[in-house]
Amino acid sequence: MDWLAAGLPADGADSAAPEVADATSAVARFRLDDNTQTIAQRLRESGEDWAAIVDEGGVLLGRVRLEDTDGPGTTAGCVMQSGPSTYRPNVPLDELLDRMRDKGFVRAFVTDPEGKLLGLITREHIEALLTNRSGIAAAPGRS
Amino acid sequence: MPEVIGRTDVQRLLTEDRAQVVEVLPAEEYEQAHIAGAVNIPLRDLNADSATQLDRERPVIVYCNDFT
Repeated sequence: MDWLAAGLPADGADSAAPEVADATSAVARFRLDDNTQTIAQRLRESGEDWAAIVDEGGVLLGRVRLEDTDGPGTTAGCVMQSGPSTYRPNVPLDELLDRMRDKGFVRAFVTDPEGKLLGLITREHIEALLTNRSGIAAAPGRS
Repeated sequence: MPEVIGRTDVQRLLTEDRAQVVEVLPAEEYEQAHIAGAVNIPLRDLNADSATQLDRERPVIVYCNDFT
């Protein structure tokens, strides 16, 4: 459903299961003509590894990793990796976790159906969230 | 008159005009997941009688699958 894929409010049996939207975090955003040294500084300050490159409408164009910013300063567009894998906010977390483990990746961008960046999701965050939820479900006194 | 609208307009109508959302998908799909606050009147059951549960004074948004 388009509405769900955009991460908008929903009810129903499926809405109780944790989804990508529940574990999506903010990510540093830059434009194509931003300088890589600026990006590197921001990433180091925030302790992040990835920056998202977006257009004026917030549509994801690609990613720049901290390691891509080594060397002389240039623009994000010159070092950006285009077309990163993206996931919709309504994908069940356990399904994405299986996929991440199978493919061996640890983070991915989250976008709406129009490609607009919503944030970043990490395997570490998913595992922590699912572990926490299963602990709550197993706690005494809860059915 | 019916008008095709997108998510942004749906959100605006819900917030500003207290619009009613009717999902005309089958009940099984509705029970799995639906727009928060939507009522379900499956397309085959949509008629003058079933529509009496709707408030005529407020906008009605009808949601279905879009295969375009």
